[in-house]
Amino acid sequence: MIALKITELACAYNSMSHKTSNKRGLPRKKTLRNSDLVLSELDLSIEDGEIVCLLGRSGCGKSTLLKAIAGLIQPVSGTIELHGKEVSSSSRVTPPEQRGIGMIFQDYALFPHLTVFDNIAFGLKKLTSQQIKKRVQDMLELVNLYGLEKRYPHELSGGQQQRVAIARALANEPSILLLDEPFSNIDSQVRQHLVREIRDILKQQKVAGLFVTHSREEGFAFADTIAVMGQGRIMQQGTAFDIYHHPNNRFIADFMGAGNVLPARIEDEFHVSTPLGMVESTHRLPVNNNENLELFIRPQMVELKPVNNKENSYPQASVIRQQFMGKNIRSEIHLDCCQGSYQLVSEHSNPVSENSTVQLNIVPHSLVLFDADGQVLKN
Amino acid sequence: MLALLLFSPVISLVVEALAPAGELFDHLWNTVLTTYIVNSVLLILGVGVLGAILAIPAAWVMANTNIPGKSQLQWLLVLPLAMPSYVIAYIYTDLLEFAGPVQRLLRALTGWESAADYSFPEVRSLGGAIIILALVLYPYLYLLTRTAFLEQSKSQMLASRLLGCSQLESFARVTLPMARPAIITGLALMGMEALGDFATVSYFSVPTLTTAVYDTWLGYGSLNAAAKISAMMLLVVMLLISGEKYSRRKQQLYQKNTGQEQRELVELSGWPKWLALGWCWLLVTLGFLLPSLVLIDYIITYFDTSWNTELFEYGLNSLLVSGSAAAVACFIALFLGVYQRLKNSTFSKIPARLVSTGYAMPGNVLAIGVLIPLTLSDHFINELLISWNQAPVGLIFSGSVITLVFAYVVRFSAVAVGSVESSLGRVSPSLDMASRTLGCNPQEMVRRIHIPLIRKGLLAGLLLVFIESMKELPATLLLRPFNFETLATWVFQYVSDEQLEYAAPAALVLVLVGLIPLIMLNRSLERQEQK
Repeated sequence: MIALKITELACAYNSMSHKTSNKRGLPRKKTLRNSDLVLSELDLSIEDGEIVCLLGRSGCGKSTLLKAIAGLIQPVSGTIELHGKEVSSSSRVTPPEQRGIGMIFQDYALFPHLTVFDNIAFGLKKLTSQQIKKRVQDMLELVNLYGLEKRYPHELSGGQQQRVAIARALANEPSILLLDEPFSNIDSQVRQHLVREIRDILKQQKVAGLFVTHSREEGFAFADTIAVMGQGRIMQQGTAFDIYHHPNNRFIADFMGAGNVLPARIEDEFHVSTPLGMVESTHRLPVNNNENLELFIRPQMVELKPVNNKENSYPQASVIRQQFMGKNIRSEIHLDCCQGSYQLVSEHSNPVSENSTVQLNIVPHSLVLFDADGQVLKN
Repeated sequence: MLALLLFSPVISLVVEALAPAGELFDHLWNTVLTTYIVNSVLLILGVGVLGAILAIPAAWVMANTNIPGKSQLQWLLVLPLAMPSYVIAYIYTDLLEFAGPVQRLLRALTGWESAADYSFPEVRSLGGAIIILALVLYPYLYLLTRTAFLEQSKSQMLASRLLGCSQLESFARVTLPMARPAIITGLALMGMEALGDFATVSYFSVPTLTTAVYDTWLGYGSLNAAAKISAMMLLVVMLLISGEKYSRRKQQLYQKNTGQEQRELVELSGWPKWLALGWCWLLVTLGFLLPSLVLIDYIITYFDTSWNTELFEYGLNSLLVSGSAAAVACFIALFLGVYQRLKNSTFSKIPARLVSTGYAMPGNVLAIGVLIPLTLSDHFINELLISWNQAPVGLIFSGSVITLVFAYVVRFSAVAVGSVESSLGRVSPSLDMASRTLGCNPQEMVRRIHIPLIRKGLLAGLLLVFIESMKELPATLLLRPFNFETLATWVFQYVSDEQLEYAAPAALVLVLVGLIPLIMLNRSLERQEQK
């Protein structure tokens, strides 16, 4: 079953209002310029129990999307469905308190005047006091904070506060949990641990989650699938591995990590000619005569070899700078060859000396080629 | 709607002032009004200059040196603000007049016998009024300037020293100019208070625009002329405010403090130390300690006659009127604050701004502004009743306590609005979103989240409006119903009758009430500095 389905959603800056009346909650009939839109023609769907990460630069509309899903702002057009029930359309907007959505905020948004217990019990209005007690204790146990129910938020560490926020949201048994940069205020040392812990809790409770971040590492660690946002739309949705190695366009390719770009021309179904010579593809390429193609190569695919006189087939280049990255070493290399000069990045495990001359080898892999508009070339 | 009601005094004042001039106004214009204007302007300028001389050195000493007793002096220097100016004016007149202890002592020491033998400056003059007002108003400037000095980064001063300026030169070329916006704001505040002052100038018989408003309305009964003069005062206020705004237009550039560094205090020793100490203590003594002691002395000496039922009766009056004004103002503030937050659009900010304009108006100007719409509505209601063949009810608004409460609310709700706004501003918007997603509708959210969280700000606003209303004199004098006295008018009555001795307990109550907000202010300032 689909937990959340968004179709052709558009949101504007100036409709950012907390008012969401359901009787006359129609968006004002006002001519909106395209530049006013934060989101436009946005489609997204999340399966039950799936955790999706919305990844994008700051200001790309990630938080706006979350607020639209929660009903905290009014979309201009498009529909939002929660478990098959329409909560937002051009004719009707359900107020947030009737949507059954849990939300986690960057600043945790715990109520400072209430204890941990009262915070978690805040939304449990329909239960008896016995049931409330039981639910709160269960939640505290779930997030590993048993015994802290009498504390006030300011007496807790950031990680503990975040767990209370999770407990508070889950106590209401939401159909989907929205997380707005939940880890950005957590110490980097505890962050990884907390990310894994909260992911486990969501998986255990079988709650679908939509998680917003601008940090790739958090997204990779937390989510099942990644949805890359840019220009007010979802540009690509898929597993992290897929998006990293098969980006849909230049923007996503760059956003997911560093890469090398070389002018290229397709020679035959498995070969591309570049200033570095022929590069081999492990997948079949669409043959065309386009001269303005770009080959996108991840640094791991660029191998450096010491200069060997016998093999002259590899182009030679000089190492400008080296940086130790932990597992790998990242080198910037400068290449002068027949058609101009290029700066490349390579990641490799064995150190080479700076200013030395090396030979370059591109490992054969499934090549990514972009056309002049930055769109990926598909077979 | 509510905001417009509270803004109506300003509108009606302007409308009334634009009406064709009556005979009286022409007459005044041709005879004494010029003197009044000159006096008012001289008063503002004099208070400003003298206040700057008093306050800026004290502010620098408090911000940058570590003279002994600094932590006490720091807040003692603010206390004169709690002194009603007319009380202090009375006390100094009493001390310094021909029959007062100072001149008696002088005569005893020198053997002079009559006033012809020597010249002693007359206290009850424009000069005297300037000195008295500067003494009670300098804390505005002191507080703002001291904060500005404290906010300045040490490195800028250091940079100027390294670029070859002496310490004194650095002060003149870097420290003072950087504090300029704060100084001008302080001066504007002092100017507004000096312009609006009625009690001191009236007691000293210095005719200014304020006394002119009072005379034209209570003496000649001409609302039109009073409105015209009030509008002139409003013009001066606007000039002062725009001057202040102008000076702040680049303020962002001035405040670049990383907040990391430790302040380096100048170690004073020798005569500069004694000069600094003497200066600060002189201000505290003249502005607060001496007058308080004299008041206490009055109370002890005249206890039997002054401790009477009138004190309690008028105290109760003050309590009731100020209390209801405070309650109404807070209700309005809460309503506007929440409205603004829920609406969250550009237009929703306008009501709160409109309501806040009342605070900038001098008390008597506001009183005239309040009278106009209320008198009109009185007439309207009575005519309506007559047309329905009912007995007219008389002046239910303009002749009753409602007027006073309304005036206080118009004048001081800005304080409550500010207090509520700032505490609401500290409530993170994500709390709103969290409570909404947890199943609260907007009303529930206000009740369960906002009100508990801004309780302190609301209470502070309540208290401040209450205190300000307690002390309010000029508007009260103009608007009170016949024979209705508050503590402030009662004390002023005795001051005018040269018998403050008999109302000393009431005066002390006013001083003590005035101390409360200063203590609160100091607390919050100290907390800020500790951060």
